[in-house]
Amino acid sequence: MKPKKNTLRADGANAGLPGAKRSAPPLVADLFSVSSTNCELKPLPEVSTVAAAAARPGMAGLEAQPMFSQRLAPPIAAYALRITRETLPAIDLDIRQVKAGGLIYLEITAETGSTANIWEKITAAGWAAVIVNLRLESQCRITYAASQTAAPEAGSWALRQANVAAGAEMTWFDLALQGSLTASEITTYLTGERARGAIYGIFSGSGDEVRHLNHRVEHLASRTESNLLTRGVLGGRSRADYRSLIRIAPDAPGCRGQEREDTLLLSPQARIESLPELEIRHHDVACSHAVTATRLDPERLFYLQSRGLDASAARELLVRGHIFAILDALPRPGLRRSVSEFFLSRSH
Amino acid sequence: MKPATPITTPSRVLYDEPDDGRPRFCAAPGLSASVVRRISAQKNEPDWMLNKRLRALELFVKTPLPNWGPDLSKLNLDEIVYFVQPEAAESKSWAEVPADIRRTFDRLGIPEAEKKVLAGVGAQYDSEVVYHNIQADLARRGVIFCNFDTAVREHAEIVKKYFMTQCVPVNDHKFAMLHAAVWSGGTFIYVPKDVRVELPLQAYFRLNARQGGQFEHTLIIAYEGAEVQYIEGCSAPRYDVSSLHAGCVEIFVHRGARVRYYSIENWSKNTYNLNTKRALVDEAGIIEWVSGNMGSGVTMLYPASILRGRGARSDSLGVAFAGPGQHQDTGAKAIHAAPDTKSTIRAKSISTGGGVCSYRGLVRVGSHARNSAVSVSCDALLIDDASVSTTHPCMKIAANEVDVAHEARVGKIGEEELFYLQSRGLSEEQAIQLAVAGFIEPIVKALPLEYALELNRLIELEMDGSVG
Repeated sequence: MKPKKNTLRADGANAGLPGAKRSAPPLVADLFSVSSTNCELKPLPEVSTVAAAAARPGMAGLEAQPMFSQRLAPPIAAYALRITRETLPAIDLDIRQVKAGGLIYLEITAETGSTANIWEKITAAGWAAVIVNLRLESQCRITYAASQTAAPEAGSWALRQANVAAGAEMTWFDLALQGSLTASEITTYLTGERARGAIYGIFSGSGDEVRHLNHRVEHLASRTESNLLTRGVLGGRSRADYRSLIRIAPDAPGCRGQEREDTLLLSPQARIESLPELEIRHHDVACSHAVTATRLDPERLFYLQSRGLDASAARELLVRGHIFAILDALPRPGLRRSVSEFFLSRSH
Repeated sequence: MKPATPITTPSRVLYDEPDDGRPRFCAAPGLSASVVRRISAQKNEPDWMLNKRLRALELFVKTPLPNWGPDLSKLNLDEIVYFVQPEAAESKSWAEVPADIRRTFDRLGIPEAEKKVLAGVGAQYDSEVVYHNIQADLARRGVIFCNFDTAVREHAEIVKKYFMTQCVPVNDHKFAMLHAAVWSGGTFIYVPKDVRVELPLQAYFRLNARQGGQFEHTLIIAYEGAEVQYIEGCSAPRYDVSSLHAGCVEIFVHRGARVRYYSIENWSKNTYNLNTKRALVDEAGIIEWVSGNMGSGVTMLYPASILRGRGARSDSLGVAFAGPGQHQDTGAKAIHAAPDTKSTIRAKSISTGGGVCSYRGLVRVGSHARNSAVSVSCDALLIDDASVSTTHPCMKIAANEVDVAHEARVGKIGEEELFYLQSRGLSEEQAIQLAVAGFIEPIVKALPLEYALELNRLIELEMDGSVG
C-alpha cells in the first residue's frame, strides 16, 4: 500500500478519519497539529482536567510547580497517537498556543517493530504546557526531539516520559532554546530486557532567561543501557538548573549508564547549578557521570583569531563546537538546520 | 610462591567490647538547661561559655531534624547521656594513666614507638582528655596543644574569639547547636606565625560508656605561614542503645599557612556520627583533609573548606566503607569566595553486605571567584548485590572564568582482575581484599604509615566473611 500524506488536525477538523470521534472533549482550536502519514490520532475523552493527567503514573509533580500551576489551568486537550509499522518515520507535532494556560496531554504508542522520528515544536506565543506519555512496545525505535522556542517573553513547561519494552530504543532530544522560562522533565523507564534509553539536551540562555532540565533514567530490567549527554551555553544573566538521575533497580543486573553535562559560561553573571545523581542498587553495573563548567578557552580564541577569524566569528565557532556533538546527532535535517540557525542568530 | 598470610588476624571484638571503666561523673540521660548548667559548672567555665551553651540549647530545641539524607528516625535524643567524666584526672605522663584505661589504648594499638616519637599524644577517654603530652621544644616555640577544656581556662581570649563564631557558628545546623550546648573535651591547637610543626600531632578518641555521647571540640589555628598536621582516630565499643557522636572541628588557616587534618573514624555500628568539620582559609593558605569512615550505623559528614582569601587551596581525600546495616553519607564541600582559589575532592567508597554509601558534595563558586578551578572525582565499589551506592554532587557556579570538572564512577570489581589473581594462587577472598586495597590505595598513600596499616587492617576485618 502506498502511504498517503495527511495532515491530522487536533482541532476536530479531521473528525472524518478513523478513530477520531465526534464526542471529543472540549478542544482549544488550533492547539496543535500532527503531520505524518498512516498514524492514528484519537481524542482521549477520559482525560479532562490537569489533575486527571497529573494523576497518571509518573505524572505527579504538576501541582508541585507553583510557577506553572498559577499560570496553567484547564482546558486540557488530550489525544492518543498510535505509531504502526506502516507509519512513515517523520512525524511533526506543532504545538501552538492560542489561549494562555492550555495544556496538552498526548499519549503515544509505538507498536512492536515500528520506527519514528518525532519532532515536537513549541512555538506558542503564550505559555504552553505539554505532557507526553510514550509507550514503546518491543523492538521499536523512537526518537523524540522537543524544541522549545517559545516567544521571548513566554515559557513552556513539559513533562515527558517513556516506557521502553524489551529490545526497544528511546532517544530524546531536549532542546531548551528560547523563552523566558522553560522547564522540562524527561523520564525514561527501561522496563524490558536490553532496552536502551538516551537523553540528549542542548540549552541556551541569554538575558534573564531561566532553564530547568531534569533528566532521569530508571533501569528496571537487566542489561539495559542509558546515555545522558547535555551541552549548555549561558550568557547574560541567564540561569540554568540541570538535574539528572540514573537509577539501577536491585533486580537489574548488567546495566550500563552514563551521564554527562557540560556548560559553557559566556558571561560572569550567568549561573549554572548541576546535580547529576546516581543511585545504584545492583553491584553488576558500570555507571559514570561527569559535569563540567568552563569558559571560552582564551587560547583557542587567540588561535582562531591568529588564523584570520574576527573575535565574534571565533566565538561563534567555539560555541558551535561546544554543542556540535548533539547538533550532529539530531535526527532530521530540518531540525539540525533550525537549531544551527538559532545559534547563529542568537547573541548570548 | 604461597601468598603471604597476614601477620595479625584482626577481630572486630577488639573495637566493639566495652571496658568496665568507671565514670566519675555521669549526667542523667536527656537534655535540659540544668544538664547544660551542670556540665558547665563541672568544668568551672566562665559565664560567656555557659551563656553560649544555653543560647545554643534554645536554638537546638526550636530547630527540626534535617529532612534530607539518611534516616535519623531511630535516633532518640532523650536517651543519650550528654556528659560522662571518667575517674582519671588529666595526667602528665603515660605511666600515670590508670591501668585499665591504658589497656584500652593498648588494645586499640597506639604503637609504642608512636607514643615516644610523635610530637604529642592526646587521648580522649570518654569525654575528658586523660593523657596529653607535648614535646618540650614545641611548647618553647609557642605551640599550644592541649585539651579544649584547659584552653577555655588558660587561653580564654583566643578561644573566645574563635570558638564557634565565624567558622561554625552556634546556629549553623541542628547538631552544631547540640554540640555547642553540650560540648566536652577535645583538642586545641595554636601554631604561631611562621612556626612549622614537623611531626604530626595526634589524639585518639574512644567512646566507652553505655549510651555515651561524644561531643568533642577541635579548634586548630594556624597563624600566618604556620604549618601543622593533626591526626584524629576514633574507635568506639558496640552497645545496644544508640549512641550519638556530634563533634565539631574548626580550622583557621591564616595567610600562607598550611594545615593537614587526618581522621580515621571507626565508631561502633550503632553510633550516629553526625559531625561538623569546617576550615576557613585565607590568602594562599592550604587546607588538606584526609578522612576515613568505617564504623557508625549512620554517618553524616561533609568536611567543608571555605576559601575566602585569594589563592587559597583545599584538597580533600576521603574513603568510606559501609557494611551490613550501615549508611555512610559522606562527602566534601568547597566554597570558593575569592579569586584564584582551587579545590580538589577525591572520594572513594566501598559497599558490602547491604551497606549504603552516599557521596553528597557541594561545590559553590561565587561571582568573585574569578579564575578558580574545581576538580571532583568520586568512585564507588559495590561488592555484592545487596549493597547500594548513591551520588549526589551539587555544583553551583556563578562565575565564568572558572574550570569546574566533576566525575564519578560506580562499578564492581573486575572479573578478569579476580580471575587473574585466583589463577596466581590467591583464594577468592584474598583476591577481593587485594582488589579493594588497590582501589583505596590513593587515599591510604596519603596517610602516615601506622594509620595506613590500621586502615587496611580495618577494611580487611570488615570484609571478613563477606565473600561467598
